[in-house]
Amino acid sequence: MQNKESFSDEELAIRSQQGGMADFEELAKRYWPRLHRFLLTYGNDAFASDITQETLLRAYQKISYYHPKKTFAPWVFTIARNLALNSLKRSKRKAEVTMDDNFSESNQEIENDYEIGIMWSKAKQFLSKTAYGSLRLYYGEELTIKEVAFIMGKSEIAIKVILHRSRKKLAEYFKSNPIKL
Amino acid sequence: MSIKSILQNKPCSEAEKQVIEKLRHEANLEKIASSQSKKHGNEVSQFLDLIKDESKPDRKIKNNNRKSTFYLPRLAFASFSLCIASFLIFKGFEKPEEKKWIQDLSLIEDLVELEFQPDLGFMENINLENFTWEKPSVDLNLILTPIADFGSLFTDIEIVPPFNPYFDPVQNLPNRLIPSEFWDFKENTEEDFENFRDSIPFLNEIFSV
Repeated sequence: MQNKESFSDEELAIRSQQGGMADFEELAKRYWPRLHRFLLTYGNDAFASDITQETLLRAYQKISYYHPKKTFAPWVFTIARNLALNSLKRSKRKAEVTMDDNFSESNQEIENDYEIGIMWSKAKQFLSKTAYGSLRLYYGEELTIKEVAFIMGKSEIAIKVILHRSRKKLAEYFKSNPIKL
Repeated sequence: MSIKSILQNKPCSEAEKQVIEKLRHEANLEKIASSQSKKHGNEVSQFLDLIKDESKPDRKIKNNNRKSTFYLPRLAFASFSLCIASFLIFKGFEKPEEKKWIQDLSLIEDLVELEFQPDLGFMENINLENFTWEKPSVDLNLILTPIADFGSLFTDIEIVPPFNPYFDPVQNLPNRLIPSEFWDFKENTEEDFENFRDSIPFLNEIFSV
């Protein structure tokens, strides 16, 4: 029997469509940390965990809708982004006090048992959600421009411009505040 | 920075290249760290338990049952609307001005009761065989009257259901008639009263005064 780790994401997704529970488990293990890191764009650690769980649950329930000829990552990242934005809209409607979010942000280091890099932390601080998300998907998750554009709901040109501006902004910041890796 | 270079995705300065390198380097470190993270491991195992639970057949049946209750309010609203619509269609409605004849009728009847033995021969014209005086097993008044009252809140038309128990006795006379007979009776009333008045000489004198 072939080891699950040797399968590509797309192969695992197709096998999951045919009812392979173990194949989806492997997908969940692969995508949990990736989705969690991406979802930190939209909120704190608890928010990212909740939406990651919801995303994978939704992907599991709707795996039959996945198109086998397309790559799996954009599909699942798009679900994650849509769920995150919906959740933010709901919380705005409920007029939740943002103090809770700030409090959780400050405790992020304690909640996570691994550290987010300084560059990424600063990027989150200075960039918009769209810019940080695009940067995370392109440089962090190594997706293509086309895939990033699909996930973020923008044109490829818009994503290129966003990435360029983000790089420039970060370069200017780190020029005046140099850091060592 | 030219638009062309942006569209070709070329990092233009050394500073930007360094930023990209650092971002990629940190992202790789994060990947390694998160793959060894116990917290993520626990969360993933919890999630896997959840989907295993979700895929159990018992769970699916429960979910289906929960979904079916969602249609109850809709069903209740639809049947309520149907009741109102059918009531308005079959029982009709009447403008308040058209009730004037009922007042005339009651005035004359009062007069007759006080001074004369009424000759109610005109009542023979009414087909009494079609009256249903028996009390029905389910009193529709209890259902239709609140609906009629509710319906009249939204229109300036006064709904006059023949089943209304609060009608005065004269109006209540055709209580159990079917609608067509009720309206026939109403149309012939004035003529019947003229005949009735003519048959009693005293009444002619009173009306002429």
